[in-house]
Amino acid sequence: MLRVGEIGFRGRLVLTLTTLVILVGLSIGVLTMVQLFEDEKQRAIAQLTVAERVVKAVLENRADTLQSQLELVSQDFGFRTAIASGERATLDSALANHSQRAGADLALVLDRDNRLLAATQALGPKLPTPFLKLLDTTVPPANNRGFLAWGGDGYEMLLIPIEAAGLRARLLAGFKLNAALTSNIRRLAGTDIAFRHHDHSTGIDQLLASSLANPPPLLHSHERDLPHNDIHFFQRLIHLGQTGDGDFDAILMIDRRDALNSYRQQAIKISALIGTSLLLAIVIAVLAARALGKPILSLARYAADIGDNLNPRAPATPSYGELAVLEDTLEKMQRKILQREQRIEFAASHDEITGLLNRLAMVQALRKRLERGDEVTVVGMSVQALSEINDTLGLSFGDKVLTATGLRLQSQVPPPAIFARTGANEFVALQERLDGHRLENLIKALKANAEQPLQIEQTPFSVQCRFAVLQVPRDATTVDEIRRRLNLTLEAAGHRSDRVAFYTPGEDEFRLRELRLIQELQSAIRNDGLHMHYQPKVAFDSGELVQVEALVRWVHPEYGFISPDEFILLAERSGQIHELTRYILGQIARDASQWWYRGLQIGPAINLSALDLSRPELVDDVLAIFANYPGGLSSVTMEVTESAVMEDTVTALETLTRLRKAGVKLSIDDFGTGHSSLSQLRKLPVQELKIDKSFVLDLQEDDQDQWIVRSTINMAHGLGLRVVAEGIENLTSWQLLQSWGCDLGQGYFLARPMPADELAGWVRTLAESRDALIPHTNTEPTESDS
Amino acid sequence: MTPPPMRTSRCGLLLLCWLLLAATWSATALASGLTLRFVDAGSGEPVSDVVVVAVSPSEPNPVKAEIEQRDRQFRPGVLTVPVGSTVDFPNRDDTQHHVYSFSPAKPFELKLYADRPEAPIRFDTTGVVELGCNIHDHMQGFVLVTEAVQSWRSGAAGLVTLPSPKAPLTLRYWHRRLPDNTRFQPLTLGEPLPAHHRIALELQPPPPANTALDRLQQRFREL
Repeated sequence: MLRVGEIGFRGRLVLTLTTLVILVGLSIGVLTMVQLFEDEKQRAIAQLTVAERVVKAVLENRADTLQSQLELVSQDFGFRTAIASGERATLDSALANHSQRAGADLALVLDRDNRLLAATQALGPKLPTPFLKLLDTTVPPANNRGFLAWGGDGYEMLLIPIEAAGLRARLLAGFKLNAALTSNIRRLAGTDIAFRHHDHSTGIDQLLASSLANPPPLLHSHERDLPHNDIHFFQRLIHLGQTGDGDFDAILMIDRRDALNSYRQQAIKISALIGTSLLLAIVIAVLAARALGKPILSLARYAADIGDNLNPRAPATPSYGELAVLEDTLEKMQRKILQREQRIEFAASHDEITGLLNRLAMVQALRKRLERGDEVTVVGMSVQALSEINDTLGLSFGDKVLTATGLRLQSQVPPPAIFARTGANEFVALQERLDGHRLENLIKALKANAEQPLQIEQTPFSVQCRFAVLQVPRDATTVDEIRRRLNLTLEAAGHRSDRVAFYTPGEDEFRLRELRLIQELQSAIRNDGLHMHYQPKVAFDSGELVQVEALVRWVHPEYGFISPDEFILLAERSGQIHELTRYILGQIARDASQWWYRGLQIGPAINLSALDLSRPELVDDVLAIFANYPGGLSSVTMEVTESAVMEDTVTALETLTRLRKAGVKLSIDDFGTGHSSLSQLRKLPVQELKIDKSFVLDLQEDDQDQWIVRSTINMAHGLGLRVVAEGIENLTSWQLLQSWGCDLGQGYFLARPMPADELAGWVRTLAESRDALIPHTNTEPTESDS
Repeated sequence: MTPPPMRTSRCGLLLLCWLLLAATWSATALASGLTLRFVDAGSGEPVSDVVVVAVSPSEPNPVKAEIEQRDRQFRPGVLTVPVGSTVDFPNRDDTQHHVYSFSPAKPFELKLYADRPEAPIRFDTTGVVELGCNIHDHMQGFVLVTEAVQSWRSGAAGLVTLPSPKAPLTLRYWHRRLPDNTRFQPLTLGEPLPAHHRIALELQPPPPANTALDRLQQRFREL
């Protein structure tokens, strides 16, 4: 089933127009037909009314004429004489003669007592009942007319008195209601007529005469003039009169068959007209729909093409009125969409601050070149200290600096080179492969241009830039690689005096290793992948193990041994240092407790980093972790470097003070390197000083080192600090230090760092070689005094 | 019989008539006769020209009488004759007449004639013979043929006085405007004879007074 919603515009137009035509056509047709029917009916009624008058007048006139003629007859002296003679034969013949003269169809002469004197028909000796009944109702002169049904015929009867001197008789004459009369009326009135007698006693309708050979079923006596059971005739009933036991009616009839035929033809004509109009309407509707629908469809296609971004041309079909407005609007829309797309595209591919191409555009350009396998040179540029400029001089100033610098840089790499701002302070130029001095010249030009003083807001200003150069595809084969290696190289450039770096193959791999280590450190911490080693510290005077320095070891399944310096730095950079510290502290507390339980009363020395010191929670961690440690916090030493303290002096001091208050011994590690400051040393709540191993390793050969170490020991003792020397590799160094009064020694000469469970065994070995370590009595006391 | 006291003027008129009647009455009462009074049954007016005949056993005495036609009228209009009498119909008009009668008592016809017919007509059967003229329909006359010798005619007061009646009295009366004017109406009065007898007559309206032309002529003229 087709629903209205599914019909197209054309269909609807066709439907609407055809419906309209059908409705209008049917209405006109029906109205016309009804009007025709009504007109015909009105005409028929009018005609019947006229005909009724005509019938009445005709009957009246006929009766009048007949009466006149009968009166003439009645006054005929011979006729009177014949009546007066009383001779039946004479009288009968005279009556026949005279009634014929008047045209009567039935005549009889009665005396004053209704005795039959003569008759034109054989009526018997006694007057028949219908005649008597007629005479009862007929009293001349006022009412001398009536109707009579007799012998199968209907008669209009007239009663005429015959009166002469001495003669009193009556002439009863009848005139048939016959075909002659009906045809006469038909001729005058234009309608057909029938006469009928209805016998009350028998209920039989008797047709007396009719102008129609085959009259239709006639109206009943009580009906008037509507077609009753035969629509082919209009009829009207005229009640003529009554006899004793019956009614005489005249029924007028108008034959409608011709009219009905003409109606039928009229209806056919109207139907044909409607049909033609319908066809015409459909044709017009289809044509109109096509005329309307074609531009609409082409505009719809146009709109669809705009939607599909095909950049179509406006349809060539001419449109008028609203369609032209629509087309115009679509064209405008297309233009605006194009403009907007261009804006969006521009915004998507350009940096809003400098107006240069952005990272996305550069990435696309790189990808394209990579796909094509072009050999290109990628130059990364970074404006140094931009964040400081932003912080101090404001963002808008920073933006201006950036823009000016970017434009200057761009001026040196004109198209077809591509120049883009790829990061906050980074630019990248992509250009044809350059090598050798041409590349160097370019870099020089770029640098010179970028670092020339700028005039920004009347302020002379100059910036420094770093440059990194990558040769693609030699140095990198994917966009990610290019970006990563460019960053890496830029970073490397920062460490160079000319701030220019060329990518060195392998650099990136190192960085990747770091990344991997950072990733895997976490799981190492969680899964006990780290191990603690302890390096003994031996007292010079007693040759006994006093302390062990805790050192963390990580053996990576792939990279092997990882230096603690390296992974601790990585832990610091990746924010895992605190977790690592907690882990190490826990391990140490566990191992140290074990020692104490086994009777080894040695305290651990633990290295703290600058980040550890900047964290106040460290103290709480230490307290919690060492709460159950049997040696007590006074046996624990924390080693910090001077530079670690320097990074955040206030917090570091606070942390150190709290540790000290908790009983922890504090030691300055690596003393003699970095930013050592004696005044700083004085402020620190330390009890120990650890001379850096770089002064100790070659101690027996280097006089300078000997002086430095000796002086340091003396100075520390002067400050009331215990002195630890590390990096002792031979007995000579040991003895030198011993002679100088150093308190504790540490180094491979004594022992390498070892797992916790090997410590007990080592202590036993130490006891065996103890004699060699303790000072001999013959050592030069003078030297130690000096 | 008592007049309804409707209006004084009418009562007064009636009273006057009554006094006049009473005066005549006293005269006839003295002669011990019978007075018949004919009135119109419709209007109550006295009816004149009522012919009353008394049937007597005595032989009638035929007479010769004459009805002349003058001014297109039978004169006299009503003639009472004993049976066997002859009546002549002299024409005094300047037109001819065709006198006839279809009355069963004496059908006759005097075809168009002027002056005097060849012979008078003898009426030898009692009865009412109506006379007409075939060319002048309005002309009407009557010959009352009776066996009685005595006849009377009511005057303007509608009175007929019989001088010495004997009971039982058998009378006949006739008037031309009676519904059936082709015969006498019998009137029998038994003993004791009243001195006064009132007879109300149902009368036809009088024919149009002046009809110079009959209806036929009128119709011809209209054609």
